[in-house]
Amino acid sequence: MSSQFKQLEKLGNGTYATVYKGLNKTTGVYVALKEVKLDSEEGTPSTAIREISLMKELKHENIVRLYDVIHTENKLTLVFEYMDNDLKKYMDSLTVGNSPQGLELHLVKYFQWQLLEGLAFCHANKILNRDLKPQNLLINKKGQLKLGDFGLARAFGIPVNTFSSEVVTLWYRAPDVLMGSRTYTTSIDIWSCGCILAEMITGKPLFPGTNDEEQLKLIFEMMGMPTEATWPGVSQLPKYAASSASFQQQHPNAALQGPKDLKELLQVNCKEKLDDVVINLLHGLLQLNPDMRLSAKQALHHTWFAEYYQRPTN
Amino acid sequence: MQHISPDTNIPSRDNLIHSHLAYQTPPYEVSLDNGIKRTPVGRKRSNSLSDLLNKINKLMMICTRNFQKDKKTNPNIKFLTEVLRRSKSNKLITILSCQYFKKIYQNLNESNINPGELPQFAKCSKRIFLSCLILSHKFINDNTFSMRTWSSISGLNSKDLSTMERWCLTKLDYNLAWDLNKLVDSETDLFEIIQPTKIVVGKRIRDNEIYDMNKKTKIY
Repeated sequence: MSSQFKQLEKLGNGTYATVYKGLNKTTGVYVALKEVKLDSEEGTPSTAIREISLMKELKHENIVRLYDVIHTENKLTLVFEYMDNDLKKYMDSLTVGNSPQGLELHLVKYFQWQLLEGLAFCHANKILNRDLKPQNLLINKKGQLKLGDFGLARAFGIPVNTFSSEVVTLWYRAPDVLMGSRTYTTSIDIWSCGCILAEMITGKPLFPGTNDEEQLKLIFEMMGMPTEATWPGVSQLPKYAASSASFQQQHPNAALQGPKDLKELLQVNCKEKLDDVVINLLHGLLQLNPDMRLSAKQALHHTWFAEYYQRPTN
Repeated sequence: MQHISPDTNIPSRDNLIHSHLAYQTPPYEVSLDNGIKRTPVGRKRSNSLSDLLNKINKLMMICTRNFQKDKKTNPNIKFLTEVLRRSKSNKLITILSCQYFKKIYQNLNESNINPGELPQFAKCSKRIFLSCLILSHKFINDNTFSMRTWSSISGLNSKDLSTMERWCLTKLDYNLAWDLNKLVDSETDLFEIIQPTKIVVGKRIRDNEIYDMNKKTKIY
């Protein structure tokens, strides 16, 4: 550790690192120190290499800033902008007894706007995040939200046979990826944004599956079982046949049932009255067919955000 | 992401360790049990691939001319042929490695560093190219080779490879992100220093093509 930083309390464990709060002794500014233990014979993990090289490119107010890198034989330390909290911990702190509580809708809107702003910037720079979830969205007391973990991120626009389908934490993983698609693109992150929006509204994860099969089942139960008519090409996905057969066996009539009423389902766990506009946005983000999902930029132009983009500039 | 081993027949580490050469980075000759020596390189290659390898070779020589004592005219072709084949590198990965390599030596030349201040491995263009290839693989492929596999590919030990990789990362200031859509099209700029006039590129190698010199065919 460079003597420039004083290591303070542990903030948590990341996917491949431990994060500490730190103090820049020269400037007096708090930082987050992400430490990766290195094996001298294993080289630098590709997760760290990707995270550093991609985050150096991403300078945006809704993406946590990478200040510095300290690389020794045994330890790699990434010095990040410090944020007070993450969205998961914040939502957990609102739980009353055993009942999770959603955020106030005006805050949901502000957070979702910032999430989409940060993501649109990533996508404009040809970077996929591939691990969007409340734990990776960092917030501070000013109500700012920033994308904070790029350990699974990658550049896109190159041959897809180098892509893995083992990406995104299960609850936020898109159905096309769950069915084995490797041809995914920015839409993989948009699905996660939809799941996060619903979770902020209700305080509960939208699709809390415990394995791939159950995850798809939960998605299909709520959004309907996709067919070639609703999603051309879906039957060609590697795991479609198996997941379709399994689902139809468990729900013989499911194919005849359309998707469930999302507004009705979310309203049960939301104190404020949900309007059709936010539900419309949610449907745009949670399209089963990845080609039908909104882009981050399109989502930012959705009517639900009109108060932001129509705000007078003076 | 995970580390995987390639499914091609890479000579075992033991073979490499017990061979009589200390530095087994290809080219080398493998003694088979029947006493026949198999030379893994030197087979007929397509003109386009040969052209590319020649250009990379020249790039390596020109970039390192201020740092290398050994200034043979054609020292890298066999090394390149073998290391790209064994690591199943495609054109995109190869070109990205070249960009990293060129950038490292551009930075060194611009800093007017005394060659005596450089670590010994930095004066070896093959070692630095190999390190750049490792970084390129890690940047592009979700499933990358472990250092142990790179050790088998190169004959160098994992610890040395890790040290070299770290040195290259630092010299590149971790700037590994290039616009991958434009990367292959940037070939002309990449090799500008070896051929200031217009480069005539032969048959275009597909971006996703994997070099397999032994089979004379292309694996996609």
